[in-house]
Amino acid sequence: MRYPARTRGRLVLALVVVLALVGVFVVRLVDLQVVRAADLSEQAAGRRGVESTVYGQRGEITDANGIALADSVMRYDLKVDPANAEDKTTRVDGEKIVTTRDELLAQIAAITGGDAAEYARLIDERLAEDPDANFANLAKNLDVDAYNAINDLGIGWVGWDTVPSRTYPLGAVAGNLVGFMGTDGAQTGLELMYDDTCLGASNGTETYERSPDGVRLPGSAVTTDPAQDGGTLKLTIDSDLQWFVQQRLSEYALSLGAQWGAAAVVRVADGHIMAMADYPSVDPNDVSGVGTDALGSRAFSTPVEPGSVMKMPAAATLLDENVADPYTRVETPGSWTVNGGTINDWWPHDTIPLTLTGILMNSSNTGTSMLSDRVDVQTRWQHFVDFGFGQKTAVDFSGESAGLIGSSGASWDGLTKYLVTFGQGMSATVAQIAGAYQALGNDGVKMPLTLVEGCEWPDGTVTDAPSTEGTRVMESQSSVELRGMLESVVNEGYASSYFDIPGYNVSAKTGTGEVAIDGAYTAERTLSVAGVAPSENPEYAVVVTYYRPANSKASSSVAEPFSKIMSQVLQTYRVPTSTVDPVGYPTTW
Amino acid sequence: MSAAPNLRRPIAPLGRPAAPERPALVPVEVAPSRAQRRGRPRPFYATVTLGGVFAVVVAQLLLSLVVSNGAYELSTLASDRAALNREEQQLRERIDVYGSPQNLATEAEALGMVANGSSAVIWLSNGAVEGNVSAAEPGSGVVGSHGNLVANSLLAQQAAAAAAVGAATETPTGSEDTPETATAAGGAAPTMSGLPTPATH
Repeated sequence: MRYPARTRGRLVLALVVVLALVGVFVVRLVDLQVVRAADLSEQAAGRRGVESTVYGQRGEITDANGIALADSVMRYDLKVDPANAEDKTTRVDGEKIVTTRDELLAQIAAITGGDAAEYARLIDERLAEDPDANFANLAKNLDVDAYNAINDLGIGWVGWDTVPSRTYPLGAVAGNLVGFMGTDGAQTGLELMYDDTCLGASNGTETYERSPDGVRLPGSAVTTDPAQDGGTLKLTIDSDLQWFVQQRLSEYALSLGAQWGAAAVVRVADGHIMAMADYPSVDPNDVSGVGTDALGSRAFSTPVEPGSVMKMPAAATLLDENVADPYTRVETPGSWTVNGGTINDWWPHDTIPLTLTGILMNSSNTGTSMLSDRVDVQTRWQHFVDFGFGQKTAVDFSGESAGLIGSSGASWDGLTKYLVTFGQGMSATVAQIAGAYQALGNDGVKMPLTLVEGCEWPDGTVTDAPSTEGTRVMESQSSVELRGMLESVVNEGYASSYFDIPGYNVSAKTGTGEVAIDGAYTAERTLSVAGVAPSENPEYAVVVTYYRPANSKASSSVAEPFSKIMSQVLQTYRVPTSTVDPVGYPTTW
Repeated sequence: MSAAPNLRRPIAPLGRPAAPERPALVPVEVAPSRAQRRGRPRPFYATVTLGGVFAVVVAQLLLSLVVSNGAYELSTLASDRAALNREEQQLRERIDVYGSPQNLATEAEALGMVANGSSAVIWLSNGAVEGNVSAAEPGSGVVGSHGNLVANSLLAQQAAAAAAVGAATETPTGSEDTPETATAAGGAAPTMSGLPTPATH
């Protein structure tokens, strides 16, 4: 088709104009959508979007049965708008009722347990600084009850900040192990140990747009940074048993007047700690109840000279090195002067004929010292190391101590090499003793002491699983013989009348460690009983220790709490009663 | 133009000699072919298109109405959920604290329950009874004479909070509430012996 020239000219002009317009639009589009896109959307979000924090939840700490020992909850900080803090007028049946600001504050204070006058002072203070002040914090850490109750008051000028918080529903049950959270995060115990690897959560942010009346625009939520929940830390502890052990430990600590005490229950087969109690027990909800030195777990952190409970590993060394057996005869003096020192038995006696069994039953220091000469010091030292002394347990608890057994056998001087056979001149924690007796009960195989079963993540994966690899620290035969010998402590020893675990054969050793203060041994004592049951096929090891009891210096007084705890353990876990008679090795000759 | 033109035979106007060279211009119409007739815009389509556009506009309007209504519902439900979550947390906290071993032990003892320290087993193979068979003695509670020694400040706190909330919501004047009424007001689970407040050391 042909158009006249004029028409063609118009058409070209129109086309050019259209193209120019399109060009302008394209340039503008690119400018908006590409060049300044980020800047503009940021401005837009800033104008309309609301950024809110999405709280990641800190992981729970649970016992072996999944009962929460530490739990994350939301708490609420109460804030007010001082500039608008006015009287409130309500109408009841057409009648005006005015509630003054101070009356409202009094109602709030009744719920928070705070002081209404103090609240009024805070508000007035803020107003004096700035008449337009619209923020003042009245109360922190209120729970849902208070939150609801204050909202029910219908006061227009109060608001809330949501604060993730921590609660410990079982109070002091396992409080020394769990630790607690302070305002600056985890302070001690498992809360601190597993803060990074398991429990810790990170908060995320979410941006959404909302209408002027505060309603979120549908489909506008943009999660810019997702929240990460922490994992659930599962312990080996049985919270019911833990309470029982703490209760008994505390009860006897009071009657003995002990400075502190600790008790441990360990499952022999796998080294799992069923209960680990400390006295004084800290309530993580309110740590002000005990001194700062009692906030951790002394069972792990505080080594003591354990006394004669160490005769167990000392005797195991003799049996394992084949230099003695349960019948080995020793002319045992009441005191033995050697290398410029004198070793005394706890009771005065002339030289008496005792077997190794009798030496353990009577807890003769001279007997164990004299026999120990049959093994060279380095081998003896190595046996102690194998039993777990001088090194931290596999738990590696926060603030755990390795105790002291010297750097080698050669580091023991002429007297110390005898003292260590009855638990003086060295130090060990309750956890270490419990680990050693676990090996005795497990036919000589020491399992890594385990407090944490693992960390379970929201997606089901488990991390921090403990090692389950055992090491043999004594021959099976030696452990069987040794348990037979230690039955005599419970059945015939000087403390036998205090042991009361009906139905079971029990192998245990008492310990009365002298406490050195400022470098000299004193009349103060550390009293312990450690043992396993049932002797013929042990399932649980129990250790109870009291430090510096004022009212008793004899370890027989620990036999009672030991018996109560052991009985409860055997009953709780339905351990069949013993059907064999005690071995009954001869104690004299 | 005057008379109705004869389309077939044009007639020159009268009184004037007809211009011989060009016939007068007469409006003619080409009879449209079938295809042309069909190609002609029809009002039906226009109506449908306009109707469609209108329907889309109306639908969009309705949809946005529904969506914004939904937004309010969503917002209400979200705040409901938040409230229910709070309630769930509150109840769970309460149950966990009431379920703490020290509370259960104290309550059990208050009910007169006793613990038997001796164990016995029956072997199913031969019916033999092994161990120490004896009844628990009266008063052999699991807590002991010292009372509960394993503190839980939440127990006391919970009782106090429930009482305070009860006092504030029920009787603003702050009259003395018995634990039972305070419990009911605070919505706490009733216990057999009122609110547990173990003697802690």
